[in-house]
Amino acid sequence: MVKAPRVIKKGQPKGGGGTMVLGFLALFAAMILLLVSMASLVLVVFGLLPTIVAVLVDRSAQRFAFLSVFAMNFAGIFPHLLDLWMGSNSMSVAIDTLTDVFSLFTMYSSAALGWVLFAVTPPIVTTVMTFIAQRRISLLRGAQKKLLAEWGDDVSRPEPGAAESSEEIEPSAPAGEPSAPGQ
Amino acid sequence: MADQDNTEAQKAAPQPETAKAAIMPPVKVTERYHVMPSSPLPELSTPSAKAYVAEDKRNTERKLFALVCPPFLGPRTGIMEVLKGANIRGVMSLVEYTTVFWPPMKQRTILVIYERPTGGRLLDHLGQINQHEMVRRVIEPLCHGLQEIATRGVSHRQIRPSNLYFLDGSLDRLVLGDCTTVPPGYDQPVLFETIERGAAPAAGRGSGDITDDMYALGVTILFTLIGGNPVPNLRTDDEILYAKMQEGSYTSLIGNEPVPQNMLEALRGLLSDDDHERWSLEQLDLWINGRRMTPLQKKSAPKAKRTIEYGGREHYNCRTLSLAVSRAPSQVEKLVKDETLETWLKRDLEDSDLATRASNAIHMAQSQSGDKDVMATRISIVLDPKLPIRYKDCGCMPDGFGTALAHSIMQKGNANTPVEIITRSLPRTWFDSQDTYNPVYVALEKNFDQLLKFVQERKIGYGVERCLYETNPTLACQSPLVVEEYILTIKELMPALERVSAKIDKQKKPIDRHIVAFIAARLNQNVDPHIKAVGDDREEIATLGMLSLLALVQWRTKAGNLLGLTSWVGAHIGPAIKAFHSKSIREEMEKEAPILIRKGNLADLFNLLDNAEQRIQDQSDFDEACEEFELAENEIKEIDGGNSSLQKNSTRIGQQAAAMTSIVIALLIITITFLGKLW
Repeated sequence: MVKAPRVIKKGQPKGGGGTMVLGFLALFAAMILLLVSMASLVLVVFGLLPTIVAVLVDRSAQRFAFLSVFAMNFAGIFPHLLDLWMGSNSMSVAIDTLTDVFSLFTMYSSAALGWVLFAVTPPIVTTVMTFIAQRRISLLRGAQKKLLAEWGDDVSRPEPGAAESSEEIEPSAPAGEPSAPGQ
Repeated sequence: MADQDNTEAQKAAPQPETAKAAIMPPVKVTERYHVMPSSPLPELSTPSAKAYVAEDKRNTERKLFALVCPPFLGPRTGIMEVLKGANIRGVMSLVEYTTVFWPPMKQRTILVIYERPTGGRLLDHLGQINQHEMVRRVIEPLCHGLQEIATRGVSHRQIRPSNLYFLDGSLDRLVLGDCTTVPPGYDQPVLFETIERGAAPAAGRGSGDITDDMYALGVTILFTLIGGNPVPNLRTDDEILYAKMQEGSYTSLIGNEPVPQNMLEALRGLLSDDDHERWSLEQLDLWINGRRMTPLQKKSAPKAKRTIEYGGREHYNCRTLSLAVSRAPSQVEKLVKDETLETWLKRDLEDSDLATRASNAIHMAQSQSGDKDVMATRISIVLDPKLPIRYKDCGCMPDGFGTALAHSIMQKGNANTPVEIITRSLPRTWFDSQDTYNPVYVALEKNFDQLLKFVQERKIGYGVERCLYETNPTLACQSPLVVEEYILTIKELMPALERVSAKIDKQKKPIDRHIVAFIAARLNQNVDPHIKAVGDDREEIATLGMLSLLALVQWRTKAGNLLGLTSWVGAHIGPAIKAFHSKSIREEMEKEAPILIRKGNLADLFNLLDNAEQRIQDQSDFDEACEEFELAENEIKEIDGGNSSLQKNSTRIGQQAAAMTSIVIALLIITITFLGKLW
C-alpha cells in the first residue's frame, strides 16, 4: 500500500499543537490542584522542574524524552505527595519536603534516571536490531549455499524459460521410444 | 576386348597389388571355402571386379573362383541371394557369397564364389563357332539362362562376349557370367546398351529390364557371327550413339557385314530400338524352335527437310539434336535465339506440337533461372523424352539416379550435380514429357518427391546422405567410422560398431551423418522422432537422441550385448547427465551408468538417462530452488539496503522503548508506594 506523502506546512513548529494541549492539560491540573490543595501544587510545580525543562528541550513530535523524564520525575515526587495527602496536607510540610535535600535528590535523580533511560535505550535497541538482521542474512546465505551445492550455479541465474513446463525440455523422440527397447 | 576389360579392372578396382600379395594367407569364406588373394585370375576378372582362385575344402577337385566386389559400388546382393545354389543351365553357378575382410584392399567387401568355367570367354572364341551351330551353342543356352533368371525376377544387364563363358573346352556349354558385383549395366560398353541407356554414363544407366538384356544379346550374337566388333570404325561412345540414332541400331551395327540370312530376322527383332517391338524371350524361343515370323520393318526417326547445325554436327532428327544439346549446353543460346529451334521443328520437321512443347520448355527454363545447363536439359528432354536426364556432367535414367549419385559422391567427392537435378525438378520435367503411361514411373516420381524433401532438410539423418542410402539399397555404409567394415544391412551395423569400438579413439562420436542416414534408410521403421532428437541444437537432447537411436537398432536387430559400443557411447553421455539440475541425481547416475555400461545394453542406459518422471521432478524441484534462491537474495538485498532506515527506526523504537520503560517503572513505583502506605 502506498502511503500518502505527509505534508509539512512551512513555518509551523514541530509539535506546536502538542505543546499547547500539554500546556492546557498542565494548567487544568494546576487549577484542580489549586482548588484541592495548594501545598500539593507547590510540591508538584517545584518537583517537576526537570520535566518542565524536558518539555522545553524535547521538540520532537512524539515527545518521548518528555514522557521518559515526566514518568520518572513523577515517580520520584509521588511518595512525598502521598506523605502530604496522608498527613496534614499543609504548606509547611510541602516546604519542608522541598527544602529536604534527600527529598529533592529523590525527585530530581529520578528525573535524571528518565533522561538516562532516554539516552541509553536507543543504542541498545539499534545494536540488538542490527544483530538480528545480520543473523538473518547469514541464515539466508547459508540456505543459498546449500541450494548452490545441490543445483549448481544455474540456480542463481535461471535461464529464460527455465521455469517453463517440463515437456519443453523433455526430448520428444526419446520420450516415446525408450519403453520400446525395454519392453 | 578381354585385354581392355582386364586393364579396366585394374584401373577401376583400387586393389593395391604388391609383392605382399604373394605371401597373403588364404581368406576363409564361410567354413567351407578359401579364396587365395595371392592367386589372381585375370582371365575371369570383369572390368570392375577382380577374380581369384577359390577352393572348396570338402572337395578340393572342384574348380571355383571368386570375384571381389568393388566396395565403392552397390553390389546386387538381392540377385546373389536368388542365384546362390540355383544351378541354372546357361548361367554360371553362384556357389556362395559373403562379406569378409579382403587383405589386398585392407577392408571388408563381398566375395562371390562361382564354379570356374574352363572353356574361356566367348570373346576368345569369336569366329570359331559355325553359323549353323550358333543357335545350339550360343543362342539357345543364353535364352534358357535368361528365361530362368527372368522367372526369378532378375535381369542380367551384363551380357557381352567378354562376360559369357564356356564351361569346358568343348565349347558346348555357354553360360552367362557374373551380373552381381556391380550395378546393372555398369560394365557394359555403349555398343551393348540400348540408345536410351547407352546415352547415360555407366553409373546412371539404371536397373533396366529383360528388354535391355535382349538388345545386348542381339549385339552379342552379331559379334559372334561377324567374329568381332561389327563397327570398328566407330571409336567413341558418341559416334556409336549418333550412328544408332541416325540409322537405327540394326542398320548401323550390321551395315554391310555378311550376316547369314537365317539370322537376320532374329537380329532385326533383338536390335529393335523400340522396346515394345523388341523381341521378347518368348519370341526368341519360338524362333529357336523353328517358327518364323514377319520381320520387323525398319522404323527410323522422323527426318527434317533441312538440317540444323549444333555442336559441330548437322542434325536431321530430334534424337541426335537432343543428345548434342546435352553434350554441349553452352551453345544452347543458339537454339533459343530468334526462336531457331521452334522454327526448325515447325517448318522443317513439321511437328507443331513438339515446337510448342520446346517453346514452353524454353520459357520455363528462362523463368526458372535462365541457366544454360537447365535450359539445355529441358530442351533435350523435350526433343527426346526417352533419353536419360542429362544435366551438366551427370546423366541418368530415372531408375539409375541412385547409382549416379553414389558414383558422384565416391568418385568426385561431392554430389552437387545430382542434388541440383533434384532441386531443379528435372526428373519431374522428364516424367511429364513421357507420352506413354508406365506404372513404374509413377513410383519413381514419388521417390523423387521424397528425395527433394530429404535434400531440402539439411540436418543429420537427411540431406545427400539420406538420398544416397534411400536410392542405393545395397550400398555399404560410407561413414569413415565403418567404411572398412563394409556394412550392407542394418543387421551388420551394430556388430561392426562393436568391432570398431575396440580400436577407435573414444573421443569420436559413434554416429555421424552417414550412419544416421543409413539407419533411417535401412531400418524398416519410422525413426524421424529419433533423428530429429539427434539433430537437436541442444547437446543433451542430441545425446539422448543418439542413444535412443542406437538402442533402437540394437533392440530391433537383436544384436545382443555390446560391451565395447556401450562403453563408447557411455563416453559421450556427459551432456545428458549434466542436463539434470540436481547434483545428487547426477552423482547417482554417474554411479549407476558404469554398471549398466558393463551390461552392454544401450536400452538400459537410455532408460536410466531418460527417466521422464525423474526429469520432470528434477525440473520442478529446480524451479522451486530458483524461486527460493531469488527470495533469499531479495531479502538479503532488502536488509543490506535498509541499514540506514534500520538505524533511524531503531533510534525511534529505542526512544519509544525508553518512554514506555519509564512509564512502566513509574507506575510500578507509584503502585508499590501506594500499597506500602496503605498497609
